[in-house]
Amino acid sequence: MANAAISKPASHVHAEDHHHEEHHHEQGFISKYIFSTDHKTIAKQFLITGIIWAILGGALSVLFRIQLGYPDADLTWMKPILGRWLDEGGHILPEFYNALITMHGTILVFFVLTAGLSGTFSNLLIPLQLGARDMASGFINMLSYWFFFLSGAVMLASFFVPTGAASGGWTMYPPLSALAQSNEGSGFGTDLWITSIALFIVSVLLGGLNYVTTVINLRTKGMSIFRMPLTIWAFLFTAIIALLSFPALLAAGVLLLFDRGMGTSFFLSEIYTGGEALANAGGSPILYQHLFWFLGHPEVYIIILPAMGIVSEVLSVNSRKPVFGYKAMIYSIFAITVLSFLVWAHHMFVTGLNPFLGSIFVIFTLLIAIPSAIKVFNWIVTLYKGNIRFTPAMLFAIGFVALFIVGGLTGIFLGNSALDIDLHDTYFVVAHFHLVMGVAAFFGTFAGVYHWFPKMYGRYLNRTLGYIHFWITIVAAYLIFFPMHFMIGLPRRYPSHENFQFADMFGELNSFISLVAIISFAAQLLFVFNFFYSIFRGRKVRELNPWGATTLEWTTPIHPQHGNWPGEIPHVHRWPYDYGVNGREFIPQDEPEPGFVPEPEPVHRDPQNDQV
Amino acid sequence: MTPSDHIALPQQLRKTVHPHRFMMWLSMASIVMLFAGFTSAYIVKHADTNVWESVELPSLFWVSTTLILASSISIFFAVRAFHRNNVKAYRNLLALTFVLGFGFLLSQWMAWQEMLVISQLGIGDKVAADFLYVISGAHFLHAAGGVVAMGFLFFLALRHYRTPEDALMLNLHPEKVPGIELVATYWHFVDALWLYLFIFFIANT
Amino acid sequence: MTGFLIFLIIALIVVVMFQVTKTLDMVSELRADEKEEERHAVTQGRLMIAFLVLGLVGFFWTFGAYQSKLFPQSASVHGELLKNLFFWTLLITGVVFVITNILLFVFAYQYRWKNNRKAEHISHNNTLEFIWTAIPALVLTFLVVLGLRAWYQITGEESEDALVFEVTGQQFFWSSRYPGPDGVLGLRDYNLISAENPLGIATPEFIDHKRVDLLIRLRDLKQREAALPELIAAAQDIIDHNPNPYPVDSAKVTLKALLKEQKELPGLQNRTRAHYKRIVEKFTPEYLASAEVAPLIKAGYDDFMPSELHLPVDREVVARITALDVLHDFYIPYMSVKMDAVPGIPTRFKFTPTITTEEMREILKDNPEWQRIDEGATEPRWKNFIYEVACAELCGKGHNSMRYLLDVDTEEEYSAWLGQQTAFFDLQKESLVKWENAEYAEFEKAYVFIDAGGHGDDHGGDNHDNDHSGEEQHSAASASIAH
Repeated sequence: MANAAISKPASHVHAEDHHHEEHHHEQGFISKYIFSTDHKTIAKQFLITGIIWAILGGALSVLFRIQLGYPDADLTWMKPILGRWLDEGGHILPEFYNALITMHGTILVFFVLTAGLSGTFSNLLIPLQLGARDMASGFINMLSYWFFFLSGAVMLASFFVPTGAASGGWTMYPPLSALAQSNEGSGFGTDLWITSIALFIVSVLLGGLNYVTTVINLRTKGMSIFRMPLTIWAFLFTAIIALLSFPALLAAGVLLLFDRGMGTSFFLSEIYTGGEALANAGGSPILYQHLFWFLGHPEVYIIILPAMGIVSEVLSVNSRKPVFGYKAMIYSIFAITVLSFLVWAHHMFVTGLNPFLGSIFVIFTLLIAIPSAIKVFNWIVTLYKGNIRFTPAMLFAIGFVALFIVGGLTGIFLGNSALDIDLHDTYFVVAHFHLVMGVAAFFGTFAGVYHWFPKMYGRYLNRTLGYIHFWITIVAAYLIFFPMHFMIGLPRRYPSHENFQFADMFGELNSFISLVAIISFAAQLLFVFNFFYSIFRGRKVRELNPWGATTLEWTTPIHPQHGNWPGEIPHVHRWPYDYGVNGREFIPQDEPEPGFVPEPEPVHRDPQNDQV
Repeated sequence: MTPSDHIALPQQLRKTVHPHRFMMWLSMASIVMLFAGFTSAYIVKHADTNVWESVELPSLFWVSTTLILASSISIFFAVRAFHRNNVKAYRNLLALTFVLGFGFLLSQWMAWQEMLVISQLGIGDKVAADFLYVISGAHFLHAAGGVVAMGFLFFLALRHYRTPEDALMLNLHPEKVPGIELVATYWHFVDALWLYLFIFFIANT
Repeated sequence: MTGFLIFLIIALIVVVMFQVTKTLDMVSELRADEKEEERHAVTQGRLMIAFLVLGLVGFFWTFGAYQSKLFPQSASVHGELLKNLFFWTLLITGVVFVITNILLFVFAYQYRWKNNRKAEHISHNNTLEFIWTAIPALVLTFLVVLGLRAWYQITGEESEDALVFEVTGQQFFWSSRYPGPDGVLGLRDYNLISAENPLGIATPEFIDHKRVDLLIRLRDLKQREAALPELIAAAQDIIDHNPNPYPVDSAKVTLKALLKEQKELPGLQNRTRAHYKRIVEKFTPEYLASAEVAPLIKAGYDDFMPSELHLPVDREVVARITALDVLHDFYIPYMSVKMDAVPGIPTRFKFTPTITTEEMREILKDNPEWQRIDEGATEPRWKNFIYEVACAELCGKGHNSMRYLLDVDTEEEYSAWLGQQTAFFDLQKESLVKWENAEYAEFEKAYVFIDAGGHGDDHGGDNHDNDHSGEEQHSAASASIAH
């Protein structure tokens, strides 16, 4: 299809309808929608798979919020689904609670906010905004999605293992995750977890290869790097982080598998469990944590950077203003990228880390606050003296900034090793990371979906439902996570806190939080409804550039074919933020400067002719 | 690869590095990180555990090293033959490289047997040996990938590239990187990686 | 029936949603005019301001509302340092939080869409950007300095006369050990853990005891192995010849369990044998007599293991923190003590309790949260106050039940308590089996060193596959066959 679209541009323009028909016959359903190599289709596949995983991951959180907020609730009616994970009284068993939080974390961090966010928008926007026909390798891109799919299938299968899904926390710290006798979920469920994550890593790496290569190699004429929209900058650095950090998790996973099945002692030492002293000697569970967090911390930037890029773009387009401090934004993304590799041990301040090493990590960690602060200030000033259109996308972008502020500020508490002694593994941490990389990244995703839905499906999402969705979600986000900061000493990952005098005074607050969480989950279903409704029935897009944006994706037809532009790829003549200059509201990137004389086109050597 | 991989480059960028080649480099960076992870784990463990016992490297590792170095040289000449449209030499050198690569894999396999049987080092006995198994095993998988790719190329060479004209066409194709170039780059990388690992093992035992 | 009903309700909701959305789309299509964007701007802008105002009110209100749930006072010296650090961080971030949120939402409202408004092209401002890079840098430097000072104070070396004690986490409880009058904790080895020696204190007597323990276990396993074929044959016989379905079914279950046991027995024996060898190889007479080890062995005799922690007030103490099975985390919420317990790698945490349990009760008396009377209790909560130790690292299904108690005493109370403690060894010595008494040397020859020189399968790769100990299976299996 790509070949046809590319090598016969003229016929494509003249006979678009015919062309379309023809492809339908040529390709069939499977190669068009299932094993497609079109980056736009793959983006949609990532998005829809991500949405499905988000529903499942959210449903898991509803279950454990019920346990936390309404510990007496009788869930016997859910017996057909939950089966033996309920006790006689219909309460969730502690082992199941652990499996729930583990799977909730894994699914949302990896499947939803990594694959669903980066996979969707990197795929959709990199070729479209840079002026490329497709990714550098459509085939590898397709593989990336199908590895993700396979990884999801394996993870889903782990729910049906007799000993249950993995339940060692999403971080899978050994020895708990290495010894089946210490934890039910550490049986076959954990093997599946590791397998699934290994497949997922392959998917991420294949995707990342494509993203970076496409950005570096396949930009259209005139698209110098400082003319790239901030979305692209964000996706580029995200992919670089992913390529360099995910292999460490793979190494950790392989070593963990060996410890589990082959009797090695990489992470195990001097363990007495199940009435038996194990032979393992010389291993270090802390080593696993180093390997894990060498990925794990960059991972949060893999999640948040694309959201930042999307938000920068959406804020600028809807304020009808350039993003403030374009270069400062790029340099801060760069600084965050570099620093993200130097802060991993701040998750390990209370593991007996060498105090001097700890203090180095404190300094690097708090250093990250500076580029983050710059970004926040720049976003705020982007609004200043703008003319702000409150589309749902814009609301979510503003919401993102607000949430990122709270979450970022609480990060300053946690990055300070001394304070971390108080806060480590308490609800303060839960509140912090849910706000800064959970809900905020979701807001970035929503902003992206509302903004680029017209490009994906040629229809709009319903605006009123979007407003309702936004207001319920942001209010809920604060009502859920803000009070959690006050559960300051409460250890996390407890199915109930009533064993402790110091911790059992938050019953009412927990019920309240659970109630809000359930409402907010329902609001997300509203979005899901809106999404699928609008794909088929939404208001149709009638103009090429509905948001009045400058970037190249809006120069494609409303329903772009594989190859994106029916004719030649537009050339770029300016940076992407020419809003309000020369007395014009905006000037698209492909509009030449006044007085521009195009160079004479070099004689194009047609490969087909060369070969004959 | 599929036909849709045949992509149109923006015209002004044709002289820069080809995307597929660039992707190969990127994936090598990623693989380097994987082995950096393994070897830094090795160093950390070596440094802070009190029960570390060094193990002797299997002598067959020297054979493997020789084989993979030789295969690197032969694939270098295979690429040269390819560029000179010398189809026959290309095919022979490719076959030689394939055999050498396969020999490397075999030699690695036997080196493990040597450790298991002669040195009596089961998996799980000594941390140093376990690392040796895991790291050389991970490298083995990467090398195996290269050998499979070479086999595939050889198959293609037998089927499609019989005459100098075939080769000429491939060489002149402006939008495609010849598979052999990618495989050669990868194979040199796998070779260098093994050298690094081998020297690393020697330095740490 | 319920399933159908739920399905019906969901279907109904979707249909209603569908119609509503369709209508909404139609309405917005009809009302689409040049004023549309302005109308949205007014509504959404107002909502923004309302959200800002309510949010800020809520922000300050929560501080008041949850005051009583926060712990009023830190009960350790470094805890007060952290409180101070927390306060400064909160103050700074609080100011930033309020200012940035006000700017964000006020700008959003102020510059909401108007058809006749023109956005100003402001691309950057180097001075401004420099300022807001420099200010965070300065403020963060302040916080880093403050934080690292506290950090080094907390992680620094303890003083000479600091009191040492040890806590050990295992699924799912804590235990503790004090060094006794000599002030030195004795040697421990996880290989020596037994019912009589739960922490594996290493003294020659405990070592012998564990050896005998393992030998008897090996003998039992051997006997069991010999008995199994007969039991299997009996079960098979019932299955083959009994016309009655009930015993057949139960025999099938039994048979399955027996076959599984038979498969696992060799591995279990190998592991037990390897365990035994580890002990013999490690605790050689030379090792026990060596200069580093001998004093530590001796120090183990007077160690005692109380059922709860007692610490003297205003004295520096050092916790040596260990774990037996998986990661745990020694957490005393009131004292800002938190440190991972890692199997194989002991950690430490130094702190100084400053408030006795009694004093803390007095402090809590005025707190409404602690004046409450719990359900089923007769006294207000503060009367029963005692320092609690919890686990702060996910360790399995009982993670939330690892409650341990800590009583902070005055110096007099503490000495009195010390006086009541008996050394753990003395408590146990009656129940220990003595090597000399019996035929254990024979056992050793018969069960352990039978395959001298054999190698490779000692470690049994399936070390995660033995969730039943042999003993349990033994009794369970023989019980079921007896029916």
